[in-house]
Amino acid sequence: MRRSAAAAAGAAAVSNLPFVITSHAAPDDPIRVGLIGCGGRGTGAVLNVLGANTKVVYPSSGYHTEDVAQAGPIERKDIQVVALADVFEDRLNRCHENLVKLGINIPKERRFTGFDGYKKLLAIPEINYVIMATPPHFRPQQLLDTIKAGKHAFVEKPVAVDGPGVRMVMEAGRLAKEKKLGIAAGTQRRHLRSYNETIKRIQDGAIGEIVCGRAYWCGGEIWVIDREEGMSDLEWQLRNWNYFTWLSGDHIVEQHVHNLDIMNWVLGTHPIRASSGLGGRQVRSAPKFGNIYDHFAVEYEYPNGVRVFSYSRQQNGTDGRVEEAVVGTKGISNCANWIKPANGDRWRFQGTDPNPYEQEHRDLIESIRAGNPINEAQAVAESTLTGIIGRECVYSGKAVSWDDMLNSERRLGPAKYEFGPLPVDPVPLPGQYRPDGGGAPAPAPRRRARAGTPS
Amino acid sequence: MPANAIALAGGAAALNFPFISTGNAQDRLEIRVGIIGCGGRGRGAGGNVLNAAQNVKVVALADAFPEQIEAARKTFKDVTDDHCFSGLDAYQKLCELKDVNYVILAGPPGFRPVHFEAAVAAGKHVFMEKPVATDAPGIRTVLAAGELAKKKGLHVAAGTQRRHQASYIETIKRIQDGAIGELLYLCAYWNGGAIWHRGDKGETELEKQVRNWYHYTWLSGDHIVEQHVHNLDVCNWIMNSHPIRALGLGGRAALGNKSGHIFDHHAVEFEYPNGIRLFSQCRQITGCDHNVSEFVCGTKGKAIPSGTIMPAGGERWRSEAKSSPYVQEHTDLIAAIRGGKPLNEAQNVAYSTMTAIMGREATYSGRIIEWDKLMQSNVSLGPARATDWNTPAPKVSVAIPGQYKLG
Repeated sequence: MRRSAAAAAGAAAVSNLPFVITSHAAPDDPIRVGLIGCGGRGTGAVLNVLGANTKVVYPSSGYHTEDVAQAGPIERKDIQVVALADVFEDRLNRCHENLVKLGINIPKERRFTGFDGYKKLLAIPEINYVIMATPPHFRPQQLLDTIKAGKHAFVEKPVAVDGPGVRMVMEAGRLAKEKKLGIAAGTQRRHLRSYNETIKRIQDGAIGEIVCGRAYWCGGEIWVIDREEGMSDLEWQLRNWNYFTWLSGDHIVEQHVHNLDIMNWVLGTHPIRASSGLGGRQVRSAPKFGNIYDHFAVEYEYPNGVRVFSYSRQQNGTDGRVEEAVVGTKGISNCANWIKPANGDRWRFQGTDPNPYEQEHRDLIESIRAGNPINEAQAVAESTLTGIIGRECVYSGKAVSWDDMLNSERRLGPAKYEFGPLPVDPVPLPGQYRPDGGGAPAPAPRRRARAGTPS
Repeated sequence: MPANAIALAGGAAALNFPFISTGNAQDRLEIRVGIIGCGGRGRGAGGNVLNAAQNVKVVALADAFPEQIEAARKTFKDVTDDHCFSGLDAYQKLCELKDVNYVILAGPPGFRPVHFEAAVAAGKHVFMEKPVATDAPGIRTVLAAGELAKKKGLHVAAGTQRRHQASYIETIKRIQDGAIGELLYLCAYWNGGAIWHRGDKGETELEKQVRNWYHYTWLSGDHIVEQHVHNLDVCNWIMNSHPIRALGLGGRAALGNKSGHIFDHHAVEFEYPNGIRLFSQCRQITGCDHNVSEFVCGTKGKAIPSGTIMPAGGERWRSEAKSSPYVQEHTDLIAAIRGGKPLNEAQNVAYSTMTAIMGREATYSGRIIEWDKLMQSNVSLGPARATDWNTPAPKVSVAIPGQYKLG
């Protein structure tokens, strides 16, 4: 399985890497990075691959930042940063300033802006490692183009916002296998020893047969980018991308995908359907929050009648809970670092974890150099689709099957990217919204519940 | 335990009742019913009690609104003019009637604790609709009145009618006897369509709210309390316990700017003392999937408490039992009054109501709510003891998670 490969790669990485080059790559053939999407996460990711310390700030307004913690030249002969691409010049420049602090200067002709900037970056032959940290909407096409260009890929999570995007990522995964290219994803829990060891024990039967899982990302609001004068609709939406379903997938996809990914990992499969979901936009109703929801509760059905219950919210002042759990016939576990058998002593993970944001790159690079690149495309595509069927179930108030959404022809977002008018889609209303994007017929009041009467 | 007591009472009732008179004086005790709250449910319950046993009459009616009395009198012909009362204090006058020994409480839930307290104080046997309160002080009133009823030899049944439904009784007995092993988790759903909204009719704000009571939390408890309490009650029954904490998400997605402030969806994870989770969903939004049911998973199988056991690797069992629980709940209560096993469901229904209230507070606040702490709350949501329509009504606003003030 991919996860075992990743785990093995992780273990190997500890002993061999990052500074020992194997026979599959000569010392003078370093990792040459191109970064697509130079925002907070993209900057953080490129610093992570270099092993530079970062200072991460999530403000309530203004961009989130992952900046260089200590300025000073960084000596990494095996890893070079070759080119940057971002739609916006100011975002790219800010990222570049961080690299300059480490003594890394990217010549102007290798700093690409605009919607096709990433294509110019992919055309640079010596780039062999592409990091994608653009808004999720753009990742499927960029990932596929990266693989077609013959480059290894690190792609942030989630990897798509709709069915067509998920299929494109799966196709990129298949193509990467053929071309012996690596794809790692930003579902970084898969690169933690604690999770790997705990989940291996669960899969070896430590809690019997799993009957249910729980996944939570109950947290606060994230950053908002206010609309400034002169910004076109599209520019503002791109800069404030978290708040538009077509760009982020909504927070059940953008953020909660981490926890859903654990469920798919520990269960070794993906859900058949999102059977029942509730949610809405109870706190963040202002226009600056676009059209996404602020809370989702979804019940998923997995094969063999296993159910997973998911809760995600972004509401300030509420109680936080970001974790997972599984219940088996013979015990329970948090998937992360402990197992409590029904009859027996609690087991706890005793080791230490590396920085997972660095480890995910080390694992990918090690696997590339070992000639057996990891490929997480299918896993992260499935976890992304898990979030998407949950979102569509909640938006519509109806069960949504895996197959229907996987095969959906509905693509979110404008057909062409041009700065200019782009009306914000209405906030989905359960009972009227349709996952296929079809019209919203006024629903007939069927089986009207009679309040105050027993049933 | 309560569940078994009810099961036994139900069984006894089936053997002895309703139509065989054994000559015992108790069996001939006339049940003289007064209905407090003559809306759809009160009138329905009045019809149910008349079908529950012989020698039963509905003799008195009370409602806040006179037109409800007029409508009810078309059904209940034994009621005389001097046994009809309207106004916010109508319940008090009905409770003063010496020739009423059986009171049906079917007013809005916010008034239930006060009505129940008055009925027990007046020495009446009580059938009370669910839910039985909308806040913690109301719950404490119900628990205290329930204890007093026991001391006074009064019997109390509640409108959580699944406890009187043979298919549920049979199935839950099997679950408790181990048919699916140790329990691992439960689910409860009341996902249905939008309910009525009566607009803003009335001369005072209080009257407007009471006429449109479902949409005000102090009166209905919100639909997680008013409606979903049924499913939560089944889970408490199975667990023979109540949850100790709740985490919940909810909101008002489709109700828009309609008057009132209840949510139209709640999703709550309840935790029982042994760590077992109950996953609850309730929704009142038209055009969405419908699901009103419960589900239990154990180490050795699964069950649908309304009548199906699915042992792992074994043969599916289905209950064949058929009965009308709406009639049966009265049959069981009358059997108790006439000398059968004592029946007092006040605590069960109070705990199930409290479970739902805890869920609501979790979704309103976005906080994790602890049972023990909430049980101490002194926040009364509304003027449940008001007798004058000019009493100020609560100023209501839709709860915003993270900002809602907990009591």
